[in-house]
Amino acid sequence: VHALVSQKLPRILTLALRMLGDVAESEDVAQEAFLRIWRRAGDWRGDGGARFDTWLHTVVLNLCRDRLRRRGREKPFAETPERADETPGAEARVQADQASSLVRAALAELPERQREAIMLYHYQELSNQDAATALEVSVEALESLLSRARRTLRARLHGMA
Amino acid sequence: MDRNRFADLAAAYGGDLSRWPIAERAGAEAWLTSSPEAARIIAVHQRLDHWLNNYVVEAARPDLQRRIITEAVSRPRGLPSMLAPWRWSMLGAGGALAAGLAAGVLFVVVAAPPAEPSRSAEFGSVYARSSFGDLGVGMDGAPGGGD
Repeated sequence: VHALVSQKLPRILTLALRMLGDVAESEDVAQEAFLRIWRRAGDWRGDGGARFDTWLHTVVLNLCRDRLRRRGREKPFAETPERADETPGAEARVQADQASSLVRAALAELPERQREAIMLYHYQELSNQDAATALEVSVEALESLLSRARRTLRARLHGMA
Repeated sequence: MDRNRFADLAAAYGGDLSRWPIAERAGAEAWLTSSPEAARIIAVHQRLDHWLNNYVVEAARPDLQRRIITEAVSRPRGLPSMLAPWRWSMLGAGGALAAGLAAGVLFVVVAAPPAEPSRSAEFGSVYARSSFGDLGVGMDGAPGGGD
């Protein structure tokens, strides 16, 4: 249990955080995802780590989608408050925060499926086959989602830069 | 691998060839070493990758990991959450409510007078107006006389 949680929790939580933008909600999603793992533990057929990881990503995606629908909006990210920071290295941190916020905002503007494709392939580093499986699309459809997402992101982020 | 395929792959998978589909990598690397245009395409997508990598999120808090593990070890493997203790208490409350309703209905049925003309005639108009009109008492007090 310890090994599984320590291995999978960071990946689950970062996906939920990027999808939802809210720490408390993301932690709830992570907890619920692990509840589902325990629920399936008795009858889980080990098909290899990759498939378990893919299934886990599908579970987290579905939990995040449910929460986004309950919120009544597709924009996934809550506003983060501006903070004044005067400690050493603060300027670099502010710049990093600003860059992070720009990317977050650009991702938030993407259509849901394109955003999910970027989350799974770029940030979660799933293979193209596993990302396509988690999204229940073909590899060709995944490539199309990724291409459109990246084209939009390139236009927005290079414009901001 | 030709220019178009290389550009399509870069557009989808980004500027890091090690993340491209395995079947495409050898051809892509060969084309990259032989074509300045391929290098320009890759550079464009590496800039976007770099931008995307600026988006960092917080690491998991230690107490979250502890909470999840505590939940896991307190529950037998494969035990559905429907059987979780808090759900049992809700099930008990629901059962008590259902039993109470059933007892109430039974009380009305048992306490109701038999469908005899002599007695029901006294209360005939009351039964006829009640929602228990199917007790078999009609407006005239005769059994089965209701509509």
